[in-house]
Amino acid sequence: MLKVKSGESHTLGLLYERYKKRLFGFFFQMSKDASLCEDLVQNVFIRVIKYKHTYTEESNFLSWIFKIARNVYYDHFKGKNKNKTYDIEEQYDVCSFENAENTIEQTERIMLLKKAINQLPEAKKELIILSKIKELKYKELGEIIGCSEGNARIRVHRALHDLKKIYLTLDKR
Amino acid sequence: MGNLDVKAMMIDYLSGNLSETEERDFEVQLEKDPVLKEEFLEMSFFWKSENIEIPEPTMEMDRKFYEMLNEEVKEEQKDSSLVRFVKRIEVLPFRKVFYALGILTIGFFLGKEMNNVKEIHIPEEVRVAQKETEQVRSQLVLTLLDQPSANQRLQAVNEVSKLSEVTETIIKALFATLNNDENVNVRLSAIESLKKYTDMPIVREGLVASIVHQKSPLVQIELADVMVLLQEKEAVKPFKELIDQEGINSSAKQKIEESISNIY
Repeated sequence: MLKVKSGESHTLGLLYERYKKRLFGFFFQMSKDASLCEDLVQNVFIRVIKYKHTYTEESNFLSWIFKIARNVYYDHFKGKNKNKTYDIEEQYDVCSFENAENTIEQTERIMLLKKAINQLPEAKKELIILSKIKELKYKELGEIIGCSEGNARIRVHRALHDLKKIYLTLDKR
Repeated sequence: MGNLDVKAMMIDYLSGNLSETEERDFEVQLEKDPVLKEEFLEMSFFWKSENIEIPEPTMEMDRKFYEMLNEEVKEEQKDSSLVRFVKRIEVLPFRKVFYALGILTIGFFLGKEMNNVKEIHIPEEVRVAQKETEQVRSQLVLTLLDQPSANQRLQAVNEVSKLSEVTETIIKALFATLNNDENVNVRLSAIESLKKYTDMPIVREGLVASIVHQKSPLVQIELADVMVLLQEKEAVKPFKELIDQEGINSSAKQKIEESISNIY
């Protein structure tokens, strides 16, 4: 990234190759709209170029780029009354094919979990998705969402417990 | 370790936030306590299931990105070229021109001289920018050819067609792809790209040399077509070796035999 900052923009291609899937995965889990996600990934890199001067040697690149990704995501939906939720069957088409060999019970459990995740408030859903990215520890997570490491840990714990509660409530119905 | 601590550690463990020692301690606790293990398995379900079904981004995303990047690199070069150009103009002897206004002839010649300088420098700047863009594109091709995704390697091969000149490194990389890539479509695209440079002896020789390496009938047929087009006599021997090999596809064999007879 320091090379990109110093004017060697062509090296951005390497960063793109390295991070595109993680960014796409983040957006997809948030929005479930693959075509939108591709545009959002593109927007992230447009902002990387635009704001490259804000990157410093001390910055953690992953935190920095996910901070941008988060802003891109929220800016996209800001002020728009876009319906971000889709019919649950439609969203998980891929999932249902992939799980064709699994038992019906397992598939149902996963579907229920997706439903529960969808019912989580946006901020908690985002926390769970981000915390699943391998390299993002509580410290980096705190940097992205703007809180301390300890606070990030508490928020992740709460989000996961809330998810479990919602799931269990749905399961009882 | 208290029970509450251990429970709290479940999420830290799943999210990779524990140190190695803490991870080991947690695993020991897990083995000791079946109730905890059951709770852990339940929590793992909440943690892991969401990761399964993320689709792959399409090639269109890559195409748009590299288009944007190329534009950006061009802009960057244009900007830096402009800055260099302005600096040059700044140091030109404008003051001297004013001082020399009284002497018409000198002024005239100086003015003419400046026009000449402009005429020389503008194409020079453009040429440098174009050269740098070509270099970026070449680097991009080499980077993409190394990617594990076949789509990206295909994109790399297609990028070659945008280059106005190819370097020996690019040609070698294309041959490495043609001879070693596991994906047939990528190999076929490599032939397609190499076809444009058959006026280079290294390309003709390389294509002939790659005949014996090809196992896919599609690639063999494509090479046969290219060799007929080039009327490359050197290809006859390796083609004969190829059709003598056991297990060669009958359609490919027939095509190669036809091609041999069509190379005069």
